[in-house]
Amino acid sequence: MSELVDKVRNEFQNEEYRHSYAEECVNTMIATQIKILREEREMTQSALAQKAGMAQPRLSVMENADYSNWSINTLKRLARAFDVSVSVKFETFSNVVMDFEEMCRANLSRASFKDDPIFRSAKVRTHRAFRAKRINSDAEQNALQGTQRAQGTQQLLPFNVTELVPRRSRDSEEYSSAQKGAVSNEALSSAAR
Amino acid sequence: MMPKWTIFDYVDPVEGNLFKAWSSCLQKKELAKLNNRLDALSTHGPELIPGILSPTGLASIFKLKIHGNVQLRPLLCEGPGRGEEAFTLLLGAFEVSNDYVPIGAPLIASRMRESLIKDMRRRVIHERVG
Repeated sequence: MSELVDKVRNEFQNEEYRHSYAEECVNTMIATQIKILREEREMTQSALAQKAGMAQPRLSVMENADYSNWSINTLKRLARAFDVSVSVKFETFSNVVMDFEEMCRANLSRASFKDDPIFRSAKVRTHRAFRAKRINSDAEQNALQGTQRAQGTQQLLPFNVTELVPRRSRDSEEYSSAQKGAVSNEALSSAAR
Repeated sequence: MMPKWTIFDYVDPVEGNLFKAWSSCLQKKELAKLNNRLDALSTHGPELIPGILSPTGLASIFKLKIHGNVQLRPLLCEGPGRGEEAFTLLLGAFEVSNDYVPIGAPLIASRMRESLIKDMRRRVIHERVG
């Protein structure tokens, strides 16, 4: 399922260890995403810094895996400069580790508003159906997770219910449908019971 | 996702795996940060994550900058086998008041690398301390 989760499974029994490890994952993912979004938009550090109202040296420091002093206000300013939104969520350790493991350009890439396919299309009805489908799918996933916890399996689902950094590749209708199919009838009826 | 890059530890002919011995002395918090950085390197290589490898001033010797109450500066090199997707951890070091501990750590690491190039048996797959 996830080699990295298996690798850290025993180590994460220590509270201090898992928090430090996960914090490093988050710091690294933010720094990497900032660089990727900047490069996608063909912006220099100076141009992005100017747009976000900060000095270029400060941005240079942030665009580094070592940086850890993030504030939500800074992230909001960068989001505005990229014309995207910021999503801050509390997250399970397993999801953070799996996001970290699956981190790549495609997963961290985000379209700005003008390139957002949902807003570019006029097929509002289709999108409403798509969102409804996603909500149903999430409910099924939650039910299944609840059952697994009750059984004490601790087995992780092969997909995320909530995501710290929503993955574009997982945001497609195809993915949602595939995952919906992956939930067996037996598991669902068990969840319903 | 399979790790793309292999991580090795340099093995001293007399004192053995010094990097493992150094790691064993770290607190859990520091150990978590170190292991995270090594996992990042083995999973994603040197290209994706900005600033994952920092130069030391010596060619072929890099450091991982790991901040915290204790400033860890593990020193490593790429390969050193030609064309292999690997890193070798050469020496565990700290940074105190802008100086390396042990003093001259990059130079020591560079000598270790040279010794490794002469005898590639002087390394083992990284022995993780968790």
